[in-house]
Amino acid sequence: MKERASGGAKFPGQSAALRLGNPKPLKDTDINVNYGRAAEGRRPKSIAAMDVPVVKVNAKYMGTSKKGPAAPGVLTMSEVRFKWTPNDVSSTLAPLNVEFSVIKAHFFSKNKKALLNLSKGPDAKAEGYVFEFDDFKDRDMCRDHVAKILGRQQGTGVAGQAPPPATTKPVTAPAPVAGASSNQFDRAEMERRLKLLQTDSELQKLHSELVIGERILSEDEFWAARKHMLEEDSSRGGRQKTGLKTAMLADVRPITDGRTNKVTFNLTPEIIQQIFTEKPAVHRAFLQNVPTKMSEVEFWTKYCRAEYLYRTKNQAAAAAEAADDEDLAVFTREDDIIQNEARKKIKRVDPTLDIAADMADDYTHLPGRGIYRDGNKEEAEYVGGKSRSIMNDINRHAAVVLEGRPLDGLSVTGADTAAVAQALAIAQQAQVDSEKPEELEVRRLERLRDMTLNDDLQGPQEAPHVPLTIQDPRKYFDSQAAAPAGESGPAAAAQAAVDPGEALDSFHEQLASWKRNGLHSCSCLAPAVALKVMTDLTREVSSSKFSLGRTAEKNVLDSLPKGIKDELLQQSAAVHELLRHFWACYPLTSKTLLEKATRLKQAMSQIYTRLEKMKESSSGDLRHQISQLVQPIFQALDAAITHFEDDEKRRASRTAQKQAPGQHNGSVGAKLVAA
Amino acid sequence: MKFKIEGLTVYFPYEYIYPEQYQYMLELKRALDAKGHCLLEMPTGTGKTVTLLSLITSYQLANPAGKLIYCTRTVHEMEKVLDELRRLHAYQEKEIGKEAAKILALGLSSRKNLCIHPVVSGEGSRESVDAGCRKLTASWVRLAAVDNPNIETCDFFENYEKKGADAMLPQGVYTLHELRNFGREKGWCPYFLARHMIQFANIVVYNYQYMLDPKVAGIISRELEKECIVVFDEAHNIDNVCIEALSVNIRQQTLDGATRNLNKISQVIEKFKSTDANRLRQEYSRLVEGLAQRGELPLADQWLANPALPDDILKEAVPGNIRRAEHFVAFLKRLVQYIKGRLHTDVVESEGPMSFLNSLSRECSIDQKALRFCYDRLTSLLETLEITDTDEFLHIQAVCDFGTLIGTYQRGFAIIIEPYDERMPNIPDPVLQLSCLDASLAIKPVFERFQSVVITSGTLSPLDLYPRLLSFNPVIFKSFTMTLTRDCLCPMILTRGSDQLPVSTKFDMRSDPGVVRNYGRLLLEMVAAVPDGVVCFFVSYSYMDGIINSWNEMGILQEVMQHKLVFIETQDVVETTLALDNYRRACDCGRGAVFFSVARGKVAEGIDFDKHYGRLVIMYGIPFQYTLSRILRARLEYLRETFQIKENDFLTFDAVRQAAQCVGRVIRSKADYGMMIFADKRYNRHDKRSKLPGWIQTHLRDAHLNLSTDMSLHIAREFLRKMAQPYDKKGQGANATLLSQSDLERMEQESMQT
Repeated sequence: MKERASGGAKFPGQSAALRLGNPKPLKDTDINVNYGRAAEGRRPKSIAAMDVPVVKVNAKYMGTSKKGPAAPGVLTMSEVRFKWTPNDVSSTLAPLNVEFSVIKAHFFSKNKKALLNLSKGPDAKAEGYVFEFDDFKDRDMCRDHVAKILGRQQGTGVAGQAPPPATTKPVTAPAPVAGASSNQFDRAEMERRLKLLQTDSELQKLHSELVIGERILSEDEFWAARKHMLEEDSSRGGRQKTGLKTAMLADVRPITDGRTNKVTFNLTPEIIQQIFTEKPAVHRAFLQNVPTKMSEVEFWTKYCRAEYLYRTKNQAAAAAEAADDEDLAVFTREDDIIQNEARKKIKRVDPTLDIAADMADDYTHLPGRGIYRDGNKEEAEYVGGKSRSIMNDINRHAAVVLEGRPLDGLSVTGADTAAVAQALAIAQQAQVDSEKPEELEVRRLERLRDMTLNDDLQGPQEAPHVPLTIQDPRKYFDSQAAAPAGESGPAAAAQAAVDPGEALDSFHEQLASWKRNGLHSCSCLAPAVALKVMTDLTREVSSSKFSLGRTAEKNVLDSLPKGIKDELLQQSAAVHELLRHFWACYPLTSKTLLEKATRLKQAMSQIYTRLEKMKESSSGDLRHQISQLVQPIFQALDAAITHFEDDEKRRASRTAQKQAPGQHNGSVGAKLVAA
Repeated sequence: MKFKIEGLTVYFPYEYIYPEQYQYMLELKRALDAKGHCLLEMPTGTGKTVTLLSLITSYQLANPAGKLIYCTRTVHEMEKVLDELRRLHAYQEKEIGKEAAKILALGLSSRKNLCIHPVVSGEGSRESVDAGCRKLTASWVRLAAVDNPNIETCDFFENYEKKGADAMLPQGVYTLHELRNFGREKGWCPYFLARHMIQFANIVVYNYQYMLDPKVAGIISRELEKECIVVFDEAHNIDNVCIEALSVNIRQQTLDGATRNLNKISQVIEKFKSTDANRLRQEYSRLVEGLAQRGELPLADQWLANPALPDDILKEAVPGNIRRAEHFVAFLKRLVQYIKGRLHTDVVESEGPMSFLNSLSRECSIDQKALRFCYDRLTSLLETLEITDTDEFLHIQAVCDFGTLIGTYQRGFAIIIEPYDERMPNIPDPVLQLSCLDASLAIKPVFERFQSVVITSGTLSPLDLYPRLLSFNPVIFKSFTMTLTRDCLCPMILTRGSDQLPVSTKFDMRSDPGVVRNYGRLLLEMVAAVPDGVVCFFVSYSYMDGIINSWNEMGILQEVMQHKLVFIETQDVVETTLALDNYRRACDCGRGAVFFSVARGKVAEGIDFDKHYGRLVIMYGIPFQYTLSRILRARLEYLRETFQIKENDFLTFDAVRQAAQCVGRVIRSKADYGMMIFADKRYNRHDKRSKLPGWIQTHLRDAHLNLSTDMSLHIAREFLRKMAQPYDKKGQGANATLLSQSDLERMEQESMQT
């Protein structure tokens, strides 16, 4: 995406440049303005939209309202659209092929019939597509799929889409169905979930494997266990914003190729945005002149020319050119917008550093009073008067960086400059409007207090803390553990918590009791257990020591090849998730729970075999290590599967005893609850 | 906490107190008991302000007589003092009840900082706000407004006036901000209210100049009683303030302006002659009786007071030759003309007031006595002529200031006429400088008038110099050392860059690219190693400007910006204030920042860079005064003749106190820590080093002298690591650095027993 300034721009002030001893005469200096892509694109990660059928079930289509005649058919759903084809080609209802983007909400029934209403409007009354399914399982599958897609649509805020209301009502009155979690489809909730997934890569992996990939868990089930994470996230009031970089981007340095008299300025959208924020006059000029008076390229060429003249210390030439061209003048003149802003800001400044207020008490520097020229002070005009200096630029830049990104949501990548300019203007306006005098007053008093209070002389007080946000928990904790168990490690802290004198005393005591009673009488562990623990430990130590030839402290996990390591970690995370859900199913009070447990058990046994296979496929030492690592996983899985099988047996025997299968579910539930 | 010092109950708003604070209180109390002046040096970072306030308010509670007049150098220090006072007051109220702890404390500043009139307060400078106010509040304007409703007046002032004596501030502590808020709430003018309330206040906090500059003190501080306790905080520069207060400079612009003013005055006189000749005649007869007889002027009508001090001038009759308005105008015209002639010279001239007076009387027959009355005669005339645009008449006022000063003082002044600035000989800019050489002249009446004057600062070394400079006899003069639980100060003297080449801002070295680069590398290495805020001080604006441009071209600045944001003090105070505000925010949010500032500048004078706002301060070079300056040389000569102070001693003393002042901004409590790098090879010499204040010298270990950049970086890293460890705040036994109430009670008992 390269554009070039049309035609070489000639410099009237070229002779001045020559006088300054420029090695290359600047004839026909080209100013090239290159637009590049900003390196930093902050697009939310999205799962690639594919038009591949994901869900395929039998469903009756009931037309746009529930009252219509129903026709059996096959419903297929992909990531972008759903299709319904009637089984009977001669049916009165035509086949459907609808994109999800027209669907605004979905509703479903709780009991009786398994219905799903995909509505084009925000409420159930609006026109939509109603399907009846053979059973609830099919319906739930479709429902989850639809929920996911709608959530994505709304969460990422597809341009031009009207926001649906925050809450929607289900078609029928909610009935207390055990196991079914919150069915209220909430846009904000969805957004939060998406955000959490974006920030937590491990969670995302788990989500994609268990919910999207194999559909072992439904969306709601997955999130039900993570309510606290969502709440935490939302209570924090949004994450920290990413700040601007400290580097002065707006200070564009020209590139010369050394042979021709071309100087090239490279401008990326990010740089342009910074120029706009740091030089409001340029921003204003852009809004006024582009594209009505000149094209964007022309504008930037002019800007760069002014910059170039300024850079080459060719102030006279810059001034001369500015006199000729009033558009150019804005780049060299003092920025009146900044001045006005400063006048506003000075009123809100921390009173403990307001040196501007001192001027008003300074009677010795009335004109004619005090000492004019004593070597203590220098006069303002001495340094160069009012012309723009690098110092002003630096201060301005730093101020802008501190203000932070005015356009947080707007991705810089690829956005066109005009849009950036417009959005910036709006954002700045909003910023000005959002300031409240009361808040300022509170902040002012706080600052004053901070500056004068002597904490040292005060009694002990609780230190305020900032909650830690950890992107990659494993990495964080590993690095903590890896820190040498020296002065500052957590181990040292733990040790420090125990008073060394105390520890010594207790040790003495123990020693004394041994001396008195002899070793035999002390209440040790059972010898068999002790032996087992010791063998386990020594085996592990010796094996890893042997294999690594290093200290045993090193994590075995780290010695595995990366692929296997990742796989293992992911599997273990998945197993934990499944186990959590599995155990949460008990007691199995309803059919749905039973179904879920069965489903989970199947998934677990799959993982079981997968892990076995992984173990098998690896060789020698590696296999030994893997088997050690997966052992706890296997144990946990074994326990779960055994429990399930035992439970199943018991259930089977009980159903055999009972001769009334109609009351099957309820009675079991009641009994178990009573138990 | 509450404790007793030699029988006086002291209320201190914290749970602990530093031992040196206790000692300070003890000495201060003795000085107050002796009804004498005192000079106390206590290192920064030990809570001077709260100690002073706590003792003096407790003293006032026990002996209710006189006010506390607390003089600060800046408005923001004023705000801080008042905030400390508020906390102290809240504590006292808690301890002894609301009624007993009643105080009224207020800050006072000019109209510019206090005005709430929507239009006038928006004016740019102090002078225009003053003039704007006068246009709405002068007595004749208000008189005219009674008949003519079209004449605009200030509602706030009118409301305040209507209330008369009932317009009172309730008890409490008022910062400027709160005064404004109160004014808005009541619809009263905060400025005149504050001026009025001074006589009822227990504590008044205002700028030095309201006490030291006779022009301002004459109208603000005239009615303070003798029993007042006057405190000059951060007084290390007090001699300069005194000197500035009595100096006048006259440039070409001033004379042109004065001529314009005189023409205007003549016109107005002509007008009055035809319409209201009686007014002028009344003035004449008043002048015969002496200026003191003119009676109390309404507050709003006052001009700045006489620039010279003796009160008796007011009792004499004004000399006959300037009593008539037109005669006086002619007199001034002659004076202006004479000065104009003197200004046209190609060589530097320097003379005493006596010879100047002689030639003045010889060439234009202006005698000394008439000159003395010059300023008061002008004010009287301007009042008679009902002139409201005060800001227009500053030039002629300056000329009259000059006349009055040379008419009054024959010693301690020098008149220097320079045709151009030494540093830029090509640009003609003639100036006639009446320079006060003797700092004691301005402060003398303060010492004479008030019972106790306390001069205190973090850097008053050498302590014996100040009584000589200000010519007074303190009953107590003492320097306190700082007890520290840990070495939280780390001064270093850096003499070389990493390449072992010496660094200095000596005139012949300062523009050497090697030195500039080494200075830059030093900063670069440090910003990468030091967390949060770093402050750099340069010797002058022009030097800073040059070095920043060089660093920018060398790419050093860009590299520094990879680590921290950069802020710079400029000569525009508004920009500097905003830069400071942003600097604080950058440090608060954890990004870290560097602030470039100038020794002797506004920032070095009064801004604290404590805690994370300043973990390191680098002093680039020694901030010597420009030694070729004629005025400085005249002053040095005077010092040598009258006080036997050697020139070099004074210059070094002055430069080192400025440097110490700069680096001292980095620490404000003992829990705080900071490093100080003196980056100049000359600091390594004993004569410079030994002039640093004691609390820096004690921490300046031999291993920290004569360092190169890499060595200092190493020390910095070590220091920061050490400081990051938890430590015992209180210290142990004899080294206790924090005293609790029980400690103090024990001490009290022990001293009773012995």
